[in-house]
Amino acid sequence: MAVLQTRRLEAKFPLRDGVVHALRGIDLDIATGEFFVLLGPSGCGKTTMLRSIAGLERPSAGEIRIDGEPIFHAENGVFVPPDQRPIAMVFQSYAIWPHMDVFENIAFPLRRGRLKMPKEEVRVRVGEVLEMLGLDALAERPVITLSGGQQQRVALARALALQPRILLMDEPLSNLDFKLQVRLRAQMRDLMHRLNLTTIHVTHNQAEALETGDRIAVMSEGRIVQIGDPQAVYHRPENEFVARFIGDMNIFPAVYRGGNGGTARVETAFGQLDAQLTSRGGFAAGANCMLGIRPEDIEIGGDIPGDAGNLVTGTVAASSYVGEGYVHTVESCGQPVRVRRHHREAISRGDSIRLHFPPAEAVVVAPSEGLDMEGLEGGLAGEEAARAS
Amino acid sequence: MRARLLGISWVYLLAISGLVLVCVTVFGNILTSFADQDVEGQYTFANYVELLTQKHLVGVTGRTALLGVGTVFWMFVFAFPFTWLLARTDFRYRTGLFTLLTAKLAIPGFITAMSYVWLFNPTSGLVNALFGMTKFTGGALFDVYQVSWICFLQGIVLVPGGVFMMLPAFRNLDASLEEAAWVSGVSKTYTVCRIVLPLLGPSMVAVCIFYFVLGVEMFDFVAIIGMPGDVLVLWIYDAIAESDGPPNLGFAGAAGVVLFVICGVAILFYARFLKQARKYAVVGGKVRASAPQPLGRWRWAAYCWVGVWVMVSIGIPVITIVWVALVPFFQPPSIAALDTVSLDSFRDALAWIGEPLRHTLILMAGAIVVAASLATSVTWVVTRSRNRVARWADNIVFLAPAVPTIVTGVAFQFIGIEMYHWLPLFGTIWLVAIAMGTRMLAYCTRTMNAASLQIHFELDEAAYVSGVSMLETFRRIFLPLMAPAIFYSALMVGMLSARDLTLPLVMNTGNSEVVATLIFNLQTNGEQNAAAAVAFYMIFILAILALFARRMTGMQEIRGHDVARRDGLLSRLSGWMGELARATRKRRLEYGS
Repeated sequence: MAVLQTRRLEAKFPLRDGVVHALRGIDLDIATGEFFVLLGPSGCGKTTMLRSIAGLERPSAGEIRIDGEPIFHAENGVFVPPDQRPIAMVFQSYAIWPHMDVFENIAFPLRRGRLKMPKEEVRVRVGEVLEMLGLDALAERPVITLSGGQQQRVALARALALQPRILLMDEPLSNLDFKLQVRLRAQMRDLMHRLNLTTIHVTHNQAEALETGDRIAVMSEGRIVQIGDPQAVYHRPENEFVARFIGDMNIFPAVYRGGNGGTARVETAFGQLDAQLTSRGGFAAGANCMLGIRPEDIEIGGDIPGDAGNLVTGTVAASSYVGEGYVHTVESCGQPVRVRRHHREAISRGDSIRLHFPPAEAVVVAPSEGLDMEGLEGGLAGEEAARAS
Repeated sequence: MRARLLGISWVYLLAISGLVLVCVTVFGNILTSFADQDVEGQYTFANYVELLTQKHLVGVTGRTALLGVGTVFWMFVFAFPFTWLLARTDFRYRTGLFTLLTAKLAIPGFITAMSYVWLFNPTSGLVNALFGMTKFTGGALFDVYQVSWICFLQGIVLVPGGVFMMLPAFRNLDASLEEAAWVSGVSKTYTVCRIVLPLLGPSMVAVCIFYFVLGVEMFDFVAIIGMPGDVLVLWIYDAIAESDGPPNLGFAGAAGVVLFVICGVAILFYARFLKQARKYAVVGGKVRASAPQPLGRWRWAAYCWVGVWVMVSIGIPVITIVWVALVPFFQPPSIAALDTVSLDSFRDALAWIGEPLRHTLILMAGAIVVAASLATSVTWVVTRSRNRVARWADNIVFLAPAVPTIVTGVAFQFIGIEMYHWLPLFGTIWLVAIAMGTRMLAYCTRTMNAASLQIHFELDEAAYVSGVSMLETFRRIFLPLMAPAIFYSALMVGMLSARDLTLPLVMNTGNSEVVATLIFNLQTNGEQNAAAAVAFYMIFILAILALFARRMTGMQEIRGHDVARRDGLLSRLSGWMGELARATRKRRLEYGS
């Protein structure tokens, strides 16, 4: 049975000029022990979702259940306040209480919170989590002397000590330096799996989401636009938003010509191409759609037999070195195509080359109206820039 | 669940009583203005008719406004360069200047006023007498009984407050804004004129408007020096302290409403400029202060200007008071007078001071309890409850400084009489303490709101989601983190209520004399050397309090350039709290509990 269920969850906040519709009917079922990620650009509603589960925000409609018990039900007026919910939360700022030392930070909620544990038990419990997270040596340190990574562990220890039914994490890694983030992702996921703890993790960092999540819900403008395991979200986007938001993808306008089961044939500026139909709904023949293919999936050059389908010919317009490989921009039929290769090849500007879009890797999705391209294009590069500032 | 709700409602209850008290001063005053002078419980427009038919109403209102403007002028003339010196230059004695500004808080306005009257009154002023030029010898050298003198004296007294209020705006100006102009080839002087000053403009105007309100409502100088041709505060006081007959509270109320309207309008403008100033503030990011600018030869001008202020605002009053206290009767310094110098009046003063001192201590304690507890609750509601009440509370508290002190006095006096049958507080020092606490509430809330906004909301939320109730979070997270701000506010309230003359004077019925009114009465009765001796004691004790209060925050603010100043006070105190918590826990572990 699902630990957490939400049904038709809506959240609206009045502003001075109008209303922000932060959640627009969210239905979720999260299973025991699942590491669930809410992923989306800023302002998509993911934090509101998390805070609604925590009880820090009050949604305007719908219901939330934990273990089948309603903790929020708009119609019945049920609203269990945050301190009565079987949850724990790790905040982006860590929210370590600066006037307490490490031990006190973890012990205070146990002693004074819902559990009202006796002193001796508190000491045992705190000792356990401190040891588990390798914090034993820091127990008596004032928290303001701790490094960012240590503070993050204290925040995690405080949450784990409560042994919650659901652990909520709001961008817990975003304030750490990049290398530490990468190291902690795997550690965090493994720890939660070992504890069999249901975790909901909010992030705008797709690499983090793909690496940690058992399942990922991609959110946009208050809706879940796709939900699935990391592979599905990455390789089989259901709409243009997900295709553009996750990773780097070449996207070309196309017209649907017909299909067979999971495959589709579309008309593009490069001619007719075959691709996987990953869009949730089908298309009528002649309908507008989008063809997407990742730069690393495109094959180049001589090893492609001449009679293979899905071939595109173009001229190399630019080549740049990006550390782990090369990105070539190939102009074809007036459209730039990005191609990513791991090794240096004898390709220089002005060369005319052949590209192959493997039908198994190319996807056809429905176009999304009014996407904010600025915010989505080159997702990863944007992340780096955001972190650097 | 029920107990839980009841838990946090204590905080709401306190906050609401605080807001009610503030509203009481406004509505109480309005009610007073309609009260019939002759028939108890009757309401009438007679007071307004009386007010409006006063011959000099327009002149008096105009002069009141002029007083405010003049006060702001003199305040700004000193406060602006001082703030500049502290925040942006390599002025050598920044710490010294800061300490002197703090020390000045210990000299109440009315004592400054008193010393200037002793020096420069046209009939017997010591300076006039020294040069043999008084009214009786064909024209005084100086005549302190002038509007311009009152403006000047009020201005110099308000300089420390002005500096402390402007300093944060100067500090929070991001250096990169002006550096961007320099590296674009704009000269330093031109950058200051076109970038720095316009950015600081709104906050400086806001401070000026705030001090206009203080200048208009300030009673210390008007009370001691009097006013050629009256101002509104004096009308109010005269109506209460009417020599022929019972106090005319109704007329005082009506004049108070006029004063309140003037101040209220000013406060609304203040809010507008403050909003503008916040728009210019760097949002969220880290502010880097500009490197201190070398003063070069200008440092001599700086020394002179600081010297002038120190002399007129601290030197002259203190020296005058000491001299007057030392000589047995009022006389200018001379060889003959030096022979009569003795410490007798300091000894005699101890006999005078007993009962008023007891009252002053009650007043301080009462005001601290009222202001600190109510302000803490109001701050919690305004900044952390995310409740509908919060907005209202914020507005009420924001408008509170528009209620002039003297009006607060009138309102509480009126209410004291009205509810005498249920609660006989009228005429006691306790009612004065409650009024004082209410008056201080607005200032406390200001300090505390600022402090509270520095405490990350997630610290509260982290407690809630860990299963800790709101009241418990208030007690164990909010209060400890706010402790420095609360402690500092309490100290300031204690100090300000000890030195305040207005409320005890307006509300005095003979049984609630405090040290401030004692000095005032001694002076009015012509016992200058006794007044001087008591005043000296008062300044001495207040100076200790003031320097102690500032020690907590002061050095942090002054060192600005080399110390990370964001959360300065907070981190220092929380460091100290951490120590304390650690020590406690160690002890617990040692005793094996």
